[in-house]
Amino acid sequence: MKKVTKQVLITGLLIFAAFGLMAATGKKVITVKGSDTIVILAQRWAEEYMAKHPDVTVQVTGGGSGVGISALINGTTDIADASRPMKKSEMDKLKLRFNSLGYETKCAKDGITLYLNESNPVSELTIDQIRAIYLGETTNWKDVGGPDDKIILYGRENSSGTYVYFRDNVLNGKDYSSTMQSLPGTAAVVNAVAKDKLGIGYGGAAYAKGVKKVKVKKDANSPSYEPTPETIKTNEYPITRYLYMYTKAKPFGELKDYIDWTLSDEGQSVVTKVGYFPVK
Amino acid sequence: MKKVSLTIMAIISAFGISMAQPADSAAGKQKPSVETTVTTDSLKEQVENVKGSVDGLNESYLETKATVGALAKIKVSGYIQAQWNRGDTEGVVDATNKLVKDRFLIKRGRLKTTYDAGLAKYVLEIDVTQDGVGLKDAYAQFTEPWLKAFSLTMGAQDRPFGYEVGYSSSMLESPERSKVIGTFFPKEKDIGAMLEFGMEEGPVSWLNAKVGVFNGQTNILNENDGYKDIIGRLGFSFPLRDAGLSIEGGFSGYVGKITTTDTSWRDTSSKAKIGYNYTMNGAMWQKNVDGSLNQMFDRQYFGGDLQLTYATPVIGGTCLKGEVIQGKQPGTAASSNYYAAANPSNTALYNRDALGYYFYFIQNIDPASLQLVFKYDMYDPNTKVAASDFTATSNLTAADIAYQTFGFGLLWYVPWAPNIRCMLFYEIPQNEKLTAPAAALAKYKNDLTDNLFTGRIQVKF
Repeated sequence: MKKVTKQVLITGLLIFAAFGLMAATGKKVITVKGSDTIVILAQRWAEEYMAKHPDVTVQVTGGGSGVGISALINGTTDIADASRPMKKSEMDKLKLRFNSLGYETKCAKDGITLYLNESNPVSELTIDQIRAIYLGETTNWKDVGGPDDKIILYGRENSSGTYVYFRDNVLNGKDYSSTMQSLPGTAAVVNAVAKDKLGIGYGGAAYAKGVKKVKVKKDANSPSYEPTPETIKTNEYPITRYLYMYTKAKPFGELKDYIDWTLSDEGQSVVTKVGYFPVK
Repeated sequence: MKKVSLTIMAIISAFGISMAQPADSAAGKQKPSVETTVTTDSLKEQVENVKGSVDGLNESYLETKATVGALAKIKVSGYIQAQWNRGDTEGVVDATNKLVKDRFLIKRGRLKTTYDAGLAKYVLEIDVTQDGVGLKDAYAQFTEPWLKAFSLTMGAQDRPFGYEVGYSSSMLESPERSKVIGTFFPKEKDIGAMLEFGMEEGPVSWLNAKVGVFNGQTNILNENDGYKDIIGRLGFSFPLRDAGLSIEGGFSGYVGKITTTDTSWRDTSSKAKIGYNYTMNGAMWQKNVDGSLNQMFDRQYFGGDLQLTYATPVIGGTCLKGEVIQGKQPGTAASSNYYAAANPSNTALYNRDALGYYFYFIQNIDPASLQLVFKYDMYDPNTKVAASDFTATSNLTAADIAYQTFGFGLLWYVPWAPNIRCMLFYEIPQNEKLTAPAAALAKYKNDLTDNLFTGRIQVKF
């Protein structure tokens, strides 16, 4: 190896090492990004955790499950919140960059809730009816026991894990009706349905304030269930799902302490307070 | 949102006016009731006007949504790899074939346009460097709608063989692909049609398969014979997430033919016999004079690849991956690259049995956004000869000499700009040291001074 090449190599290594050390040191900051369904829970967790651990900062932002997982793949977040499981294609991307498949932590349970305006007389729907409504095959409330008026669809944007979960598990992977209005957050969906007597929306159970929750039946001959702690714990409510936190690899250090705390009795009590359901 | 906002405004206005109404009435009982009626009518009219506007906005919103939805299917991506090389005396060659010790260059400048409509995909990718503009990918793909497991791709695309051929250059942990890949599959792409099977989930999601029919030409050249090459790979993938382990791999095959174009010799007694080809006889090349012009010779490779990754606690993921390929490579006297002479040519075909393999060890150091890389790369273009066979009377050529290369690298993903990757890589190629070669190969008695340092910055979007 020539002398100049050696010098260049050594200089480069020193620069990399210096930058690496700069990146490795500093204040304890945990970044959390992802699911808008989980963001209210993540914010409450962060507030309570920071109150007990003043030396730690937990930064929480939403954007959707897809956005959070992309940030995890890009290395710009420590935790990706997701309201759906990570896809194989996303695992492959994570593996390319970090040589790791990611580490999954189930942090809460949720029942995807169908919201109706409080004036809407419809009180229960089967999965088939919900599917037909969101595929645009059923367009009038009278076909499902409501008034003779058109159905206005509200839903989430395609970066949302709830959007993906609902499409894959309720619509059997088919595309939503083109008339569905995609809104940037579950709160926006709830707000729209609360204002629109012909509206229907879906989202996390914790957001169902000022709207009517529909009871859901697996099929016409099954009993109908409202999303409650009991029906979700027993998986009787037909659209029950886990909420997830993903990290690049098995967490350690401050990250592990934080995630362990969210799974503790104290952390899980926050889940209940926010309106979701504990994993245990 | 605009619809909701306007609705709220209308409701607030209506409430405001209706709340104000009794107070007005109470304050002035003498006001005539007809005025109240007029005010209510006016309010109704206003609400109708607002409703009309909202309906109009809603229509406009749906139109905009449809337009934006269509545009969202178009994705533009790409990356630039700018680098500085410094080599030993024989390491770097400039555009005029003159040896230079160091140089800056744009190794890759990719721009990729994808139209992804779910079950249909269009991809066009070009490569822009100081050498000009080249076509990389240009294909159309569609997926069947039922299982969404089978897809057909037609056009210029990666050959479905092994691991490194289809591995993105932007993710490659060394500056270039291994020598066996560069020799067997130069430029990675070929034009053809490929059927692919793979499922995102389900009981057979561990299995994937690709098989295609291709022109068998390098660098997306036009076809020069009627024979098509068949390429395929059967792969497996076992992600054991709970154990932090992933095991992937596959077996590949390439069955093709090469047509000779050599007219350098013509049998004077039988004009039908034109052109040479060479095969090994012991450790010597034997000239065959049976007339090989327009004859086809086997171009066949078989290989296996394996990738293991483990999420090493605390420090970051570890990867060990490798690939071995052996096969029949029709080349020329001067090169073990596959035979691609002009038609007609004065270039005889040499039939070689070749073997190549490589492996990487990659260790992430996540707290510092670093990856440490070690690579070993071996390519033997002619497995029927050893270093001791290169004697003064041998007719073996430089294209029969084996190489091994040791590579050491450091990759840094800039923490505040994750789309930037910096690479420092040092390669130490070692040729076979010939014991007593002919004068033309005398320099191969020792290892050539051809080590190479690469410093590269890559920005990807």
